[in-house]
Amino acid sequence: MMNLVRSYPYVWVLLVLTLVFGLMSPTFFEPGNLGNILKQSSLLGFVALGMCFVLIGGGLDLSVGSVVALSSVLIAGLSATLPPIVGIHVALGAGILIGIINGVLITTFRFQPIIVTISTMAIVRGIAMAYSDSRPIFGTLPEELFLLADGTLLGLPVPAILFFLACAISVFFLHYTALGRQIYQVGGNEEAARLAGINVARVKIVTYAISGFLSSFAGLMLVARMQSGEAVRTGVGWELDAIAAAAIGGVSLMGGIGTVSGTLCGALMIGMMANAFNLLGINPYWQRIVIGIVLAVAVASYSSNSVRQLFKRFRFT
Amino acid sequence: MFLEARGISKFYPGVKALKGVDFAVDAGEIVAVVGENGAGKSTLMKVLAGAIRPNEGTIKVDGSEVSFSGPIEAQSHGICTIYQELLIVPELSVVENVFLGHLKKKNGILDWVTMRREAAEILTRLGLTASVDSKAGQLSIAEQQLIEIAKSLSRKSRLLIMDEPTASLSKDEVDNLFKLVRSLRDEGIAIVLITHHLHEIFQICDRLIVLRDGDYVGASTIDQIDEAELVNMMLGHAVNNDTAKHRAVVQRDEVVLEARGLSRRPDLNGVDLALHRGEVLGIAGLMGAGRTELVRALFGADRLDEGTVKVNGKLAVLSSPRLALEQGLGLAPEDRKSEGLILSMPIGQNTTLPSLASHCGFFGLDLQKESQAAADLCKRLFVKYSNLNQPVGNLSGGNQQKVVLAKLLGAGTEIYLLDEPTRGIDIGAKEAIFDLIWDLTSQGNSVIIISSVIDELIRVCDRIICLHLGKVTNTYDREDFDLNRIMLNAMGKNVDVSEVSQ
Repeated sequence: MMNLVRSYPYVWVLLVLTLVFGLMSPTFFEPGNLGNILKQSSLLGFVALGMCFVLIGGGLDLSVGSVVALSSVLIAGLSATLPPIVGIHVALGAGILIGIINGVLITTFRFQPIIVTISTMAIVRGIAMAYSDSRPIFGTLPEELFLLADGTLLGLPVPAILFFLACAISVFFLHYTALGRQIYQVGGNEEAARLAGINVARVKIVTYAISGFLSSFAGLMLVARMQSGEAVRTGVGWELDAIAAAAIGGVSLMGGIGTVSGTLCGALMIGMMANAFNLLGINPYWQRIVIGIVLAVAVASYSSNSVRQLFKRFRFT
Repeated sequence: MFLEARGISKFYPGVKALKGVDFAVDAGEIVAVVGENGAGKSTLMKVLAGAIRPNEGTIKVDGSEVSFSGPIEAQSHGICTIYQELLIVPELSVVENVFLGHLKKKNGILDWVTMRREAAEILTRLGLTASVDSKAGQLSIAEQQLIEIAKSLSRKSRLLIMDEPTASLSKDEVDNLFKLVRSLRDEGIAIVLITHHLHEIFQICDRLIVLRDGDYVGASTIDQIDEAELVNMMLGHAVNNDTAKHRAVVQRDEVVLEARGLSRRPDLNGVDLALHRGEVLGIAGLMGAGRTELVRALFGADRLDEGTVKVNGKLAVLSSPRLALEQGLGLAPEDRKSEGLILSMPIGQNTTLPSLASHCGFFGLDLQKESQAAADLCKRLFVKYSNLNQPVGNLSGGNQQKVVLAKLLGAGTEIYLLDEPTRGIDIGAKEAIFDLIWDLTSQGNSVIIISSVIDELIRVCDRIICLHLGKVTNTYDREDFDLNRIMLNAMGKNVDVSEVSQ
């Protein structure tokens, strides 16, 4: 039992939070509400999952929120004249392309990830605003697309199913393919990975491309839910929420350490807190404060370990 | 005596770094601390500088006993240390660096006027012409070293400890530094010098003490000792060439690796070497001789300026580690923690690091096959572990090194490049690694091994080349191995037998 807690602390925190919220609010455990939580968390979940890849590979991607916005206006805008499937493909392609650009700038020019992705964050947001003239685009999307956000399958909301599917594929990719393993290796020790014959640049570019893809996929889900695309407010601050979700789930910002299941729990926790605070009628400002506290506590509980790791790494021999 | 240390001992888990060493230095003299790598010189200096606490022994300054709680307390007694890695903040100006850690204040605010004046005075005295406002990072290494000295002078230092101060200086810069050191001595400052270069000891020092494996071997004034005697003291007479364990002499009929004119300035300047099938080739040289640069260049980890490499008689392009691995080369890097292993990952996954692709099946990685392969490799190398999923960082140094070798073995390496494979590991693990090297070569593999401990090279190698300042100074076959000559060659001396054997 103690072992389980030690291996999966975030799972237990998630369960405890669920119980506490359930006791505090009678409507919390209603199926409709649980479905809502899953729907809401899965949007951030896609972005956090992409962030998880980048962080494990030793990088950082701050452009994700802007990619969500660009994706949403591209899909809504292009659907005015073309079938929506074209807009969806263009948006997903744009997300991957932005990720590749991030990765190439970071690996070939050895720029710092934080600087590169801050610039792409601004540039992509600007492009999205220019494309949409900073106005929401609506009335262009067919009814079927809304099923993607509101439909259910086997009692579960479709976005949640897609998110769990993405998580399952990610687990397989990280643990059962050589490229997935190499992400951990590059993030854990870039020089050792290079000397072991790994193409470090390729691995890093792949992580940024995955992040771009998943962010634009989150944009697609958002368009389906809001029935419109919008460039100014969409996805603002999501990069930090995504990092917070990953960090709460035990992903190390130093690289090389992290799990999909942790990121999943982190995203659920953040979504659940938003929902419960709504139900309880607590001021949304408190929500930010509590997320901050949870993040600090989570990171402190991991860092006792990572501090030890750090000491080991720099020990004089 | 200004400073007197008696019976200093320092123990680390499993290692005795210093065993009851006596040391003294008086104002106005230059004392050298001499010994091979790992002899305990740096540990002794760190004890004197207050950076580490000894387990046993007493230190007296001006006749009264002291116990340093840290470097700051040692500095308050006038003891300053200049480490080989200079502690200069490149972004700060010269004056800010000089007063780093002891800024002068007047009425609670920083007194830059006084600090700039004092810094300028000290710099003039040291012969540094750069402005006190220029950025430290823009100065040359030699100038930065002068800033370090200025730092200690601004603290009214009475004892200056210098660890390998000449390691990255040109000849003229060394001459200037020595001139300065002599004038500091004449002003009554005590100076302790650590150096690998024997001629420097004879050039500048008044006295020397010799350490070996943490033991105090002896002391002498400079005029009572010569180079050959000093080398004997450093290495000890009991050179145990246990050749019984060594296998028969190899047939040198097939060259597997041939390098011509390898250059990567300033570290490598036209190195030629040939490695035969089944041979153990040792590279002897000091730190900075280009040993690590040589094997890294062969492995494609660093780019070459010039030179060609042939593998199995065919011209090979080794521009990346990937290509080198494909040609059958494998490198065990000098620093296994930062380059050889991924400490955050388990033992098993580290073992299969370069050979992962071979465990890929149709449905992705075959984790069972992979961990079986890892377990087999670890068993072949006698790695002691409790669980393959344990982080590799939890293993002892010797076992970590074995994991690095297991990695190479698993990648199908035929030419092993081992950079200091025995550094920091205990005797037992060393023997296991030697056994493994002989095993590997008897199966037709070839090995290039670097070690700072020449005894070890003599024990394990078939042939030794000596490297100095990026050039090969000599080559010895097994039957001609001579510790003293190899040592002197590695230090840049071209000697023949008559000079040393006496």
